[in-house]
Amino acid sequence: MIKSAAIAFLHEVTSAVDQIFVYGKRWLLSWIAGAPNWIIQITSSLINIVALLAAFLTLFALMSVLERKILGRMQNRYGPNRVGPFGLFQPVADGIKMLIKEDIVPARADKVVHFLAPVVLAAVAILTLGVMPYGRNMTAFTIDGGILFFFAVGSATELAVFMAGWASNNKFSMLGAMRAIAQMFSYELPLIITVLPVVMIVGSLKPDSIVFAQGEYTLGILPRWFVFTPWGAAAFLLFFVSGLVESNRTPFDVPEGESEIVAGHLTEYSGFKYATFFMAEYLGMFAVSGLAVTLFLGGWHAPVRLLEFVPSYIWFFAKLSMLLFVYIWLRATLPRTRVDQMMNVAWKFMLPMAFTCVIAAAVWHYAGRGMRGWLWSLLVIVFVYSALSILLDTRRKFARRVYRFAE
Amino acid sequence: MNGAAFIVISVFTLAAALAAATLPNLMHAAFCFVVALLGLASFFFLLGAEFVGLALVFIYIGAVAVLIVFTILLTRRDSKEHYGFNWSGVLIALAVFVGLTWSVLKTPSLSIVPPHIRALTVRQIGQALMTGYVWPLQCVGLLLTAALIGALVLVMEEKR
Amino acid sequence: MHRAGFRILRKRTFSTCSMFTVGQEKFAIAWRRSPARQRRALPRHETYLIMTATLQVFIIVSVALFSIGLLAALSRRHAIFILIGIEMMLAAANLNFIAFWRFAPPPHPPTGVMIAIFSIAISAAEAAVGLAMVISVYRHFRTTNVDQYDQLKG
Repeated sequence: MIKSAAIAFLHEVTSAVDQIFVYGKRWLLSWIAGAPNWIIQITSSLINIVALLAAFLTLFALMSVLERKILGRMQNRYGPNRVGPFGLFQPVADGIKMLIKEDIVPARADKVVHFLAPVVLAAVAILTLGVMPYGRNMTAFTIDGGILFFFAVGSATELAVFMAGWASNNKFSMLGAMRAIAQMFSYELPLIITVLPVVMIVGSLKPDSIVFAQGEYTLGILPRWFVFTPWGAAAFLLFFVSGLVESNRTPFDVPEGESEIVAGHLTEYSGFKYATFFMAEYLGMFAVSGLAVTLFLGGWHAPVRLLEFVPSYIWFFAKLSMLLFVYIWLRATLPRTRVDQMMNVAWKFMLPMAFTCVIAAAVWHYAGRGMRGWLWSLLVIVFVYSALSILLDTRRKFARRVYRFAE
Repeated sequence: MNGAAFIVISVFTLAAALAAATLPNLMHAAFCFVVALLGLASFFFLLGAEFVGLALVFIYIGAVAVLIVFTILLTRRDSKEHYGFNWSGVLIALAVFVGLTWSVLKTPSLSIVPPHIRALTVRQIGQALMTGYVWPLQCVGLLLTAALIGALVLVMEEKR
Repeated sequence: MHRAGFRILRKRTFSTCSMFTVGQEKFAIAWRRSPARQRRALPRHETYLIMTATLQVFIIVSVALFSIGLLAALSRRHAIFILIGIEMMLAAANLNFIAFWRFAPPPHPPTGVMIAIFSIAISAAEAAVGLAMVISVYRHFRTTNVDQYDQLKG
């Protein structure tokens, strides 16, 4: 009896810790309980927004220093380690540097548009963070078409990049902006179509429902995340790569390649505006990774049923950190792709594979969602992948090496 | 529907649309058009049709506005040509506005308040699209394919 | 306020309001809605005023947007401006459809929303074709001033 009471008590404690932010918000709102309805709604939204901004700006600061340290370690050197304990106060130093730099605007640049471009980009990146479920009952804004909101708002990123490139009145900026937009919208198609099988299987556009649909565990130990189905694994890989491209990260950072195009659309930006662009790129990365966690990796669910006592937001941020580590790892490891190679992959390989994922998801569903469905959908994906590999084979056939020596 | 929100959004949208129609600089006009479309999307949110509002932002701002901006870039010359402004267009637009507004205000059956309806979920839209509106859906798909292929053919450089 | 189409409703007496009012007395009838209301005075602190926008206001906004699009299409001499005006007219028509859908009496078929969705898709296709035409014409005439497109045979 003591054991069941102890278990009940532990359960109470873990669920309280799990919902600690929800209780905190309710406590804050109880201070203004008597106010009219619209004030309560606005205050609730403001609390959500402040919490979201605090969490993600801290994550941004942390990531900017952790990225440099991890890159450094992978390149067999220390990263920044002077400023604080293990260099963790580096973002403070970076922030102060960016703030006190002179803000240079070209004389013939379009001042209004030049100013608005980083603002629009950062606003769009922050908006997309609002629809994801960070924990149990912890979604900032529940919209009926949450996934559509994410992509609708994310597609305004291209416009902001274009504004930045055009307003600088600089040929390199213009070229960089056009290349960036071409890259971004050609990878938007695989990004969106790979989300389609998940939405189809779950039957709802709400990220909350998608996370709930991944909640069960087969035999108590294997989670039913969508990444463990063949179409889900393929879709996750395609989504992850498309997300890499959307955030202009290496190996797809042609828009910001220093050896190619100076800094692309960011050439004429200095000081705080450049920091805003930087922040917007990182926030976009967080948003896409967060969406990948929500759609494919089970959101805030624990991997095994035993570990469900750990709070849900811890799981979400753990999975998010894992994905961000892979982003940093790819940056340290891979060289930059050529523009035409990138476009070829997008249109000739990723788009047909994305459509295949939709078909494979349908096959998985209609062949029963168990072993049989798994095998049939795996067959569909492997067949199309092999067909594409054979059709798109552009490898040069190497000739036997001939040595010529000076006579 | 909150009257204050409605007034704010409508003033904002109409001002942006007017700016888009009258600004001499083409890029500024295109960006004001984007802002007007955002205001229109918030109208749709106010009216309870969230899916249409999101689709508007996605398709118009994400695709059509980017197309417009690209076309402005591709058809630009370095010399600043002065494009005239045709004032008879203002007269016609004003006449159309006055005529339609007068006819709307004279129709008493239009001064109704919004009834309480259940929110239209995306699931209902999806079901309607797949059952009642499946033929228009297929036709729109065909139309989009034909239009995009046609646009590509129009723009392709001729092979010498 | 009522002339501009805004109605000021008393929240309590909404159910006895008739949907259609006659002529200029729409505000007057909203006040004298039921004989019961004249007999007993409603205590002031129980009702609060909601300002709701009637269908007329939405249609007027849509008409205003349409005429601004018409203005852009008729009075600007740059081909792309004309296309922007046409897109604005299409968007205003969409607003009209959605407004009528919202104010429809029960049952509420989703027809207005469907028409709007298809209209958005079609206008995207038409914008693509129109802009392709502008580029193609620019390649021939080297200008986007529509006043200079004055040769039939190119």
